[in-house]
Amino acid sequence: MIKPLSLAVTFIYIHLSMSFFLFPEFLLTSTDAGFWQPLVINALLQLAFLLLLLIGLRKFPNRDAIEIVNPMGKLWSLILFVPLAIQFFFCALIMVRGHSELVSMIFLPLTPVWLITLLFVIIALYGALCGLKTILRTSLVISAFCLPIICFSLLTTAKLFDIDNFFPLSDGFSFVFNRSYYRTFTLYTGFLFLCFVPTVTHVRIRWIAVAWGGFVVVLLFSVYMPVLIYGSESAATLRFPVIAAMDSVELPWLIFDRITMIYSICTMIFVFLYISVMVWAVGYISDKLAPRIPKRMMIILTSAALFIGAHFVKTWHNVEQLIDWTQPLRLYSMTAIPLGIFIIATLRKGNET
Amino acid sequence: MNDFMAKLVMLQSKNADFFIKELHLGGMDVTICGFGTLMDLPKTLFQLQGMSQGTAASANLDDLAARIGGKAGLSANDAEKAITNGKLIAFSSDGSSRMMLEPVPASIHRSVSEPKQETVLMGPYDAFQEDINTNSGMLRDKLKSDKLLHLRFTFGKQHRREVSVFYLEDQIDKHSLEAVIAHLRLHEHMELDNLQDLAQIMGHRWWNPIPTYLSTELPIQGVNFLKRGRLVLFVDGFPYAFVFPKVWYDMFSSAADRQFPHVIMYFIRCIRIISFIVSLILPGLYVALVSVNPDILKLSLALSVAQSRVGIPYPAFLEVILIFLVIEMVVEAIQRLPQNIGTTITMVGGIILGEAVVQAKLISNLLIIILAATTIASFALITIHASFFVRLAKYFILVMAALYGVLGVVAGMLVVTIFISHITSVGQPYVEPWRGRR
Repeated sequence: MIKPLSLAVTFIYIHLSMSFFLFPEFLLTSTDAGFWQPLVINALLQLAFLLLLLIGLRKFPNRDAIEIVNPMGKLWSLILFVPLAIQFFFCALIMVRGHSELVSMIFLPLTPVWLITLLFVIIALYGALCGLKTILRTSLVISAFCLPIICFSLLTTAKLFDIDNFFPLSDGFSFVFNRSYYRTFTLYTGFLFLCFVPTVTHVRIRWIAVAWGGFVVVLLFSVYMPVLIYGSESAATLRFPVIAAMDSVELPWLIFDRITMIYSICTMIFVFLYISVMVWAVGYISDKLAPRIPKRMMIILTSAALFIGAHFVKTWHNVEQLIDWTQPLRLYSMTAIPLGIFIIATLRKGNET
Repeated sequence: MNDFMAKLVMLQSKNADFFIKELHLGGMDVTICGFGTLMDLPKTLFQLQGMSQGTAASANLDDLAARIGGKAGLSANDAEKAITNGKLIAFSSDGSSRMMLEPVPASIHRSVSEPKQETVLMGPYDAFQEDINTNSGMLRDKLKSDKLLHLRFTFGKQHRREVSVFYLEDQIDKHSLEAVIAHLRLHEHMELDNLQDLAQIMGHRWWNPIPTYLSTELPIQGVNFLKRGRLVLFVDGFPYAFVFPKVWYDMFSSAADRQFPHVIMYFIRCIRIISFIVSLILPGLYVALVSVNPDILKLSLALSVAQSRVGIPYPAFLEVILIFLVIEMVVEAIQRLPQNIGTTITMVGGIILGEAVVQAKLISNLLIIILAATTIASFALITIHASFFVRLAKYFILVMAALYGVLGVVAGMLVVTIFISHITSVGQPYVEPWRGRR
């Protein structure tokens, strides 16, 4: 009960942590109306790959993805997992940089950004050094406090909703040609950390599917919240639509000035944990592919690289550029790894029987 | 004179309480020896004479041992150990054959008394005391079951100390049992003088401020833990039962809670969980809200907070550190002092903390309230170890708050949570609730 639950919660917040800052903005600019279309299409695509990955992993219980692929030859592991490690690293980098900017904006306008980056990197490093087991346990404890607060603050916005803004329901499929649409994939690659979970705990497909359903609902909510409050045209012009929409809520009985504060603090915890998982995954992949480098060393090096890398991403424009540049990598990891693991697992199972 | 005799003579010359006596026992001439301070010699002799009277003369020592309930055929080495353990050794005049006798022990142990550190609400009033055999007996008396098993270990090379492990055969979690026994076997050569040693034996890291055992002085608690599949361990000379493994939830729940209706029990536990959070974050939150993020609060609240700090000449962080140092000193001083002087400290501390510092404009009114709330909350947790941990961890969160404001408080909480999640107690993850047998 405890272990599958903590994995499901981790699955949810890995997606959730990104879904409120970068994702809605990209989605809102990708099309003029009918935002549910790109969202649902992407989510279903993700579900397909997610199931492929899980079914592939299930054929070899207690083995992680690399252990499944390795017997087919080191080359296959390198082809599949080196891009994945790079992808994880850049995911972490985008998160660190994007969120230190956000923190600087909301909480700490006077603190230098590098100090905030340092906080992100050090906490991620500590979490990653403690290992995935610890991170999963932490997730459950933290979620018990934070998820209710997040749900509460999301629901408070409902009183400002104008249902007319929900229409028109569709704007065709022109979003396929929009760059912003492809940027939203940044969020959907989060599930790939499941590749390395089986050595730590058993992955139960049912729990993950429920978690997937949960996060799609929250995702829909996070996209439609600014739309329902401001209308789609004005919402698309906002930098952080969810934050802006929530800022407009006034609750007289709360001791905080804005509900955004407690909301962003809670999501920020999940961002810390998300980066931890990514850094841990990079360390794990390197440990399996190049066991000669100590895992701890690799995790420390990755964190250091994160800190230095974040220093080079100077502006918000750079962050968007980085997302665009790493797009092919993300699409590759999202499709090739589940497919590769599924095919290899099926082939190996066939050979064995 | 052989080796054994030589050693005895040497012992006698160096120890004022070591005796060697010639005795006529059951028609045989034997010599007895032992530490006079560990036994009641006149009573022992009276008993021995009584047991050996009225029968035919014994042919040898083995025969005599069988008759008066001694243990014959002791090696010289075992005899020496038995002497230091307070036993009476009898041997033939040449010292070649030896037997061990159980003397009437000297009354150096206190009798079972009321608990000193734990309060009993609606439960039996007896508490564990220093003697390991008494403790074991109390446990067996409270839990009359043939499934209750008892293992005995001896620690130390120079100074021997006995350790007893109790568990219920049908309830025990096998992983924990194996882990505990493996740890005990591996470290049997280690000296066991204090609880730090015990923690080290059980695989506790020095940097971890949370002990991986739970201690209780109430037999009823020990029984409760045994029934839930945990191990109870006694160390000779310590009036506590040590329970393994320990989990986080033990900070909030106690067996005594079960004397109340369910709703009350959950209410009490909720209060303790809130106390845990309050005592961790309140000082940090004060610093964050006063000096880094005053804009988070509603304007009227932010103004009243700012007003309470008017005229205070140093930053909020320093203010908190100063006053918390004072309260830590008060707590420490009260623990050290005997009860009748302790009240003086309470009074002086109370005057300083309550009135004087505020009037002197050194500390804000609000901080005094926070100080009181934090201190009270930190002692609402079940074990003293738990309150030590939150007292320590709050300083870490305080520093984080001074650096990063409210985000720092939350990040600090996250680090504390990761830290707690990382700990295991004999293989059981600390944050996961205890579910008994796996």
